[in-house]
Amino acid sequence: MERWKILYRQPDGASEYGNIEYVTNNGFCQVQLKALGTVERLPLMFKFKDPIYAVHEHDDIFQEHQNSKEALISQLENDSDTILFEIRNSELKHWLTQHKFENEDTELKGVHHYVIRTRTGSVDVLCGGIKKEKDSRAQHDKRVKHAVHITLYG
Amino acid sequence: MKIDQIAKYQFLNAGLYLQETTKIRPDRLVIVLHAISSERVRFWIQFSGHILGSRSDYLYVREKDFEYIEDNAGQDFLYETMIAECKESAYLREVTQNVQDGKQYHHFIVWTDEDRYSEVVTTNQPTIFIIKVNPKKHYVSYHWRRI
Repeated sequence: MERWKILYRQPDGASEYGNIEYVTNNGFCQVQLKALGTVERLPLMFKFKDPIYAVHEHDDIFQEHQNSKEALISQLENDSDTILFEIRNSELKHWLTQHKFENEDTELKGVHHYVIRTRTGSVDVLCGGIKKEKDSRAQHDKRVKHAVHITLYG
Repeated sequence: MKIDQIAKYQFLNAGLYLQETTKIRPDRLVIVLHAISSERVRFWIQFSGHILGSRSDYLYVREKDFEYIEDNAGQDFLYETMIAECKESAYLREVTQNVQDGKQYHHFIVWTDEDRYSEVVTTNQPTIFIIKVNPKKHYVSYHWRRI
């Protein structure tokens, strides 16, 4: 069974953000969330560390998590604040492991599975990790100066 | 897996392209194929319409899906194919199972021999631009041509 760990939340956060924009290639993934209905609320920016194994975006958050659907529904119903989760015992990662190393005994220990969700959709990112607020490169990137860099829980 | 070719490009040394996927707006997703050699053209593939889902993985992850690829005429998979529409797609069924808007959705795959590939489910056909290098100038300039 998957376990969902909360990494970032704000009051009614998941319902205050809509459009998901992202860039991804082999070594880089950046996800930006735009606030719904107000220009005053700044976009949120999440950056992920390479290697970027998979980036899946869809309207239905349950799509990648069919086996956890019941548990997930009850969790999400009572929580409209959480925007970013990390998933432990991830099915997608398990599936990736099977496909990547069919004959090797490995758990892909360095791979993390994150889920970002908004009112309109969600993104699953399998990658090497998430960049924290202290990342100096992020602060010097002029393209993201209007976005809020987040402090993570846990 | 059965495909229809949408675009192909004949190049002698396959695999000299890197992919970068950018979802700019809810109705706009762009995949740029960056040539490793500066003498090669680049590709800008633009998807629009109602984009229901997209995903980007390493090719080995879908190795089994890509194991038997043929076009709808029964021909073997053609290696110069860069963009294809996937028929009888499980991903398309999965993404559209709860959608009842009466629209026709298509499942497109973009790949090179590089180890990453991208898929998009949307209503519209993609638009493809070629970005050419101008060898007469000292700096690189791009001329865009729609195919």
